[in-house]
Amino acid sequence: MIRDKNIDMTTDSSGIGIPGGARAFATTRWSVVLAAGGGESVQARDAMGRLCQIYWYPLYAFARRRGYSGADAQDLAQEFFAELISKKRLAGVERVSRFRAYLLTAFKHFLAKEYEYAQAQKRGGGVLAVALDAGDADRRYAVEPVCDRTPESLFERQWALALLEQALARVESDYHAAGKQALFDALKPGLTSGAGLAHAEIAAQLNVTEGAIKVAAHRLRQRYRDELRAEIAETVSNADEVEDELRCLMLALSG
Amino acid sequence: MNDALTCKECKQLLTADAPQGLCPACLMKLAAQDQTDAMNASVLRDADPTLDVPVVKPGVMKAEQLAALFPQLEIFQQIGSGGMGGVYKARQKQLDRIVALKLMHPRFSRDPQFSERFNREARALAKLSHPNIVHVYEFGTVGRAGDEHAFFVMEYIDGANLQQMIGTKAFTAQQALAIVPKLCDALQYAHDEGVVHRDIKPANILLDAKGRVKIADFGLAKIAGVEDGRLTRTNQGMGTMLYTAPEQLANAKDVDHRADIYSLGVVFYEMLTGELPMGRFANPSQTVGVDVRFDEIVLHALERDVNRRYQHVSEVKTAVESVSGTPQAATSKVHATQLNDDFLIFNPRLPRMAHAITAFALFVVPIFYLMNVVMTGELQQTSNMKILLIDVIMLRLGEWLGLLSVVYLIYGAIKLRALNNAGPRFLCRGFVLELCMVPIFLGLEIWKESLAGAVLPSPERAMTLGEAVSGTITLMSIVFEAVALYWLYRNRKQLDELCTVTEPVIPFIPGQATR
Repeated sequence: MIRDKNIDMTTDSSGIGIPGGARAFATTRWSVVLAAGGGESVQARDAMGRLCQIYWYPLYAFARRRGYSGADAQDLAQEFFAELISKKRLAGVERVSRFRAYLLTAFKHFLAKEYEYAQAQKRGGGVLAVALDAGDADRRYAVEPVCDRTPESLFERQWALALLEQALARVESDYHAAGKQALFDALKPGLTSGAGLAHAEIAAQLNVTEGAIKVAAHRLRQRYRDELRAEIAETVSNADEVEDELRCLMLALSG
Repeated sequence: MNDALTCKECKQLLTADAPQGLCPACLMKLAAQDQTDAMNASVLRDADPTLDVPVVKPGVMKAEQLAALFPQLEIFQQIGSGGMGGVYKARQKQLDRIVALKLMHPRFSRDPQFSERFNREARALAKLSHPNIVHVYEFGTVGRAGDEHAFFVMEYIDGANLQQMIGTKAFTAQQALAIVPKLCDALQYAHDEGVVHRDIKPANILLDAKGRVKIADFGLAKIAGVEDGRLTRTNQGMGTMLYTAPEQLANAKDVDHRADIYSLGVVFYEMLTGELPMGRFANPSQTVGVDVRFDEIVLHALERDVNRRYQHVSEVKTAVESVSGTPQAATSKVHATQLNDDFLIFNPRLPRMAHAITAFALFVVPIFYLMNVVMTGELQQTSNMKILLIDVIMLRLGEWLGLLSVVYLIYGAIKLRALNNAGPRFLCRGFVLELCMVPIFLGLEIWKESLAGAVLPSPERAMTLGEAVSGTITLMSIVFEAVALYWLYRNRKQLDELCTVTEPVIPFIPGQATR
């Protein structure tokens, strides 16, 4: 009977997975999407939806930098995601190995097409595939550092930031679930500053030894590293890509 | 340059979009390191286990943990894990009944307003008692402070959820149409009780082994506190918003029961077509060949403007039932012959009065007309030419007007049965004509009598039984026709909505293809 069917984690629409390298590549989100190959698959749709949810802001920023107004950029992003998630769009992307590259290219094509498409044609009933927070997007874009970034480089940078944020939130959530939010908050600066953490003070605060804090800090760094790599892996389709993607992202963040 | 605005390590400018205030370049570098600064064994000995953070998949708890938290339950197995927490099959020891235990992830308890909100909402949920809503038996929180789990003990449903069913492809439009009215019942009941679901989706609609439909997870979205709509990119709980109403995505606080109607529309579309209504989507009638009238229902439910949507779930149910109840399907594949056979089938969806009217129009009026024609064959012998003339006029007029009204009425009755919107129109014309004949003939009769020398009918000429009966019937018919006309007028809007067939199908002409 259907009841005995394993309602397993791959159909978990929240997309929460096991951090660390233990995750098989077959179940990374982009792999799932590619595997579906434009055919019907609840998992693929969920995976794609989750990907869109994480990385919508870079597209929005790209559209803004291209010259669209806030409202237009939002509408375009939403319309694009709706099309993206509908299976017809995904047919023919088997050879694209990285989601980031795919997303930008697809969006550019979409914008070129949409230029001729009148807004008034929109029928009532288009379902939003992702939650795009209007006020938040505008605010975030407003504080975008003014510089000569091209829309593409802005997209890449925002993508990298979204990735970092996502990984950080995941790790924080794990710490919180274990009741260790305070520990996370105290050790967080150690993620970037290495030796700059005031181990002794923190130890005193949390009533443990300094050595314990050092170990905990190390573990957090390791944890975050694993999580970050896992997040990157979600957007590529095989293990070799991760390193290369990482390099691209680092480039995007520099300068 | 202010030191606080640059990263100490890489000296890059720290911008406002830095994740949690950390330098993004340095964070990314962390991932690039093959191995973070290795620690030797002696240092690791210092590790304090109280600082351990286990890598655990949210929603999964060890059996021992669960058993400790719920001594009154015997936990069998995990039967699901949604974004909000895990669901387990369990048995209430004391009552010896199988239940489902739903645990919410501790992170929801993080919110200081959570417990107040939880208690308030959970109480409302527990009060919901409806055959199509999963019943909540108990609720509460367990665990230490900071690590609390909110939980529900609810009815256990032995079956599958709609998401799994839709995926199987064996799911037909017929089944979908059987399910929707029950969903509407449940939703309307909940709305009447002041509870909005906010997260209607196939995964939350359960079908048990006996085919009963039950909606689960009412109001959980509100409890979880996803209220302020700021679903940031890091929100882990909600997955995609494929079924959420636009106004709910924009601002979850101002949402009312009509958001459920939107979600229902999405689910309905998905049940019928197997796809989601996204972007520029096709009508269900085009995709799978269901009745075109369902297109209208789906689109009306999916209206982005909340005020243009169905305002109550019960309206959806009425619409669906009225469409699915009619024997004739006005699909693009129906042939005229099929329609012909169905013309005179008793249509249960029309109001009773409409049936009375059509019966009257189809049987009473023509019979009466024929009787009249047969019985008034002879003209009264009279020497007065004028009277003769009037008699002739009356006869001819009666014949022709009568015939015309009979034709109108029969045609209108047939159309009404076919739910063609020409029906009420023609019926009205027929009745108007009949009723107009009354003053005309009365006037002519009076004129005749006046010419014959008396205004009132002469008292010597006793009324024959036939005349009396005929007169009574005529009177009753006139009254009925007036009432019918009035009814058709009063209910013209409902009839208009009911009678949506517009193809000009001319009955009894075989081979005429409808569009």
